[in-house]
Amino acid sequence: MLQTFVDGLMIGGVYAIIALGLTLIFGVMRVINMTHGEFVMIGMFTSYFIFKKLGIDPFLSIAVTTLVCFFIGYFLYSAFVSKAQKAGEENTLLLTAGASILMVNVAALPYFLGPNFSRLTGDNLYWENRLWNVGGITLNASLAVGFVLTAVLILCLSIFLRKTDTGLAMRAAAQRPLAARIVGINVPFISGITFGLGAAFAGIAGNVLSTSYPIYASIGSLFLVKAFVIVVLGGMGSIPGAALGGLVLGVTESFGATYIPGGTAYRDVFGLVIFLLVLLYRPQGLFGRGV
Amino acid sequence: MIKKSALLLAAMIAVAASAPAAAADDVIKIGAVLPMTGNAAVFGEKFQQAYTMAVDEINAAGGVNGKKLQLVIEDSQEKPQIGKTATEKLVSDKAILVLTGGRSSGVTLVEAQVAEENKIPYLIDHGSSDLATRSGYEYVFRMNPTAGMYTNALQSYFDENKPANVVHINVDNAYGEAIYEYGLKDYMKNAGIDYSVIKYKAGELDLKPIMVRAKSSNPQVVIMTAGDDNDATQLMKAAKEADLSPELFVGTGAGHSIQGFATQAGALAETVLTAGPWHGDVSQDAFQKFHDGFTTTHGHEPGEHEVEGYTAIYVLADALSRTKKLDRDSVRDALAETDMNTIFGPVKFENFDGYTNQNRAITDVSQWIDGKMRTVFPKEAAQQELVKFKGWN
Repeated sequence: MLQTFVDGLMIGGVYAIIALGLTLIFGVMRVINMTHGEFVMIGMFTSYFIFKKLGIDPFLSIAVTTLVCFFIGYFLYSAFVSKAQKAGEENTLLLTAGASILMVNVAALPYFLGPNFSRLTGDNLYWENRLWNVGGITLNASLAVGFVLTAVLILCLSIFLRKTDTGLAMRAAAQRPLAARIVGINVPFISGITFGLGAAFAGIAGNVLSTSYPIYASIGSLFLVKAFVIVVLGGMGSIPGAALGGLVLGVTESFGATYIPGGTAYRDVFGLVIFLLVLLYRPQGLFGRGV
Repeated sequence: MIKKSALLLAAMIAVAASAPAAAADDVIKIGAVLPMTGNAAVFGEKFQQAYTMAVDEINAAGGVNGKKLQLVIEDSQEKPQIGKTATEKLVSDKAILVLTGGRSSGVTLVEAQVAEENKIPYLIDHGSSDLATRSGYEYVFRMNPTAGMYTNALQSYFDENKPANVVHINVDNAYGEAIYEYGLKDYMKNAGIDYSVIKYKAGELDLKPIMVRAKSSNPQVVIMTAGDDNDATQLMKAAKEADLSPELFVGTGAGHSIQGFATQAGALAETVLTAGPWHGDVSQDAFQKFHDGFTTTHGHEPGEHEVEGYTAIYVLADALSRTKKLDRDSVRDALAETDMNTIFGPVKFENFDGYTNQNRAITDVSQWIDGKMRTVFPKEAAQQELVKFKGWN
């Protein structure tokens, strides 16, 4: 039981990083970002590419992934999403859905991932099938480090948003764009930074997952729905909500898949049931402040 | 006044339209539906390479009764609905006399249905869903074993080495269903073996909960069914994480029987067994020639899929050489009379046990040793002794 709980926490930690990024984009900026899963894929691919070409450990190449995803995210927002945003939320959904298709198909080109599955494997890869035994509990080493990383990122993000000028500007631009402009905040630039930051978080999750999961162009779709569920579950725009939501989903899936007969085929159902219950009885989410 | 350029254009179109259709009389067309894009593109590529090699060899040796073979491939993207459209497109080309390909059970079943409705002979070379040759189709032939037949050699092994209990981790799709329904279910019941099945969804990333459940039964043998090398690898990774340690891990072909599994899983593939279609006898001259030629051309050894694809073209060429007329019905009749030896074993289409036009194909149990697949059972075909699972350390 404890093992199942810990397994759930480990994967929940990764879900939390992905959801953190989306809570900034969807929760704060109200942009329905259908490309969020693709940024996880880009993170996985960047990590794979750097390891294959340069032999650099995936946890060290997080710095590069962060920059790559940040800039792609910033560009996507500034060049396209910001224009669609003016016409309403639904348009951001359509635009990012189209961008998602483009990103998946570009990634499937032979020069990048190609149509097959890739794996980050290698004799000199510390994380390959690495398990740590802590007090009788087995941990997937890369997910365990990912869990610690999630905690650090949550802390940093909270401080950033509350204590730094840029962070405050980001919140202001999202809450009251007109008032933010009036006080001199460059709203388009700050919004682009917010989107880029959200994308960067998704990319970091990709690095963490790259040694445990196969890497292929359309893998992002597996994370997209989960990410939206977590963001709504935890409360739109709430960082602790995204973190807790991710952990709750991870643990629920783990228990459901392990203990409910036939549960493995329906593991997604458990998280969605929790999601329905929260929407019924607490629609603002666990940490939301009211609809 | 019509401009000169418009007249010139019209003239060019007229000339192009009146040019004879490219050497239609000198060519015999074979259609194939393959997954050229999508998650299964690796398989599509294998079959394309194998088909092309056979077609080139046959054409270089003079073709079939003086006519060259021409392969026409349509992409199924491994999706049945798109496979249906792809098959219909091939069928609408009246110059295509026979179909092959399909690959996945889902697409194969659809291709078979369309072939039967349109009265065009279809030679299945890999698709394993038993239903394709259990539906009384007259135009559908299968040279490979069905999923239900994949575990024939494994069952013989269990007859000699009865396991105390078996857990079968099965993929939740048509392929997994056939492996169970037509293969293992009745055998296990009749043999009195303690047998339980845990299902998982194809593409599922976190398989550890299943392995934890499997471990609670303390199985002597763990059978795994995976449609592709990705699932096959994720299963082994999860088995290690859960510390599931049976005497034998046995895959049932597909994902466990391709080089991609050894590449992705690395050390985790070592000693994993796979029960499925026989993949050729290296000691046979004809097979050796194919094996060496293929390895030289494509840089990797041919496996079960390549052997099947290559053999399919030769079976079709044989039928086309015997056909009374070059039309679809005559080719169908010639195919039904097939009785030949190939590098895939004997090929003869028979009706038995509810199957129609089904070849009694050979199956074996192979084992991954040092990244290569070696036949370990039956003994007469064994390239080496079967090795038990050595544990996770």
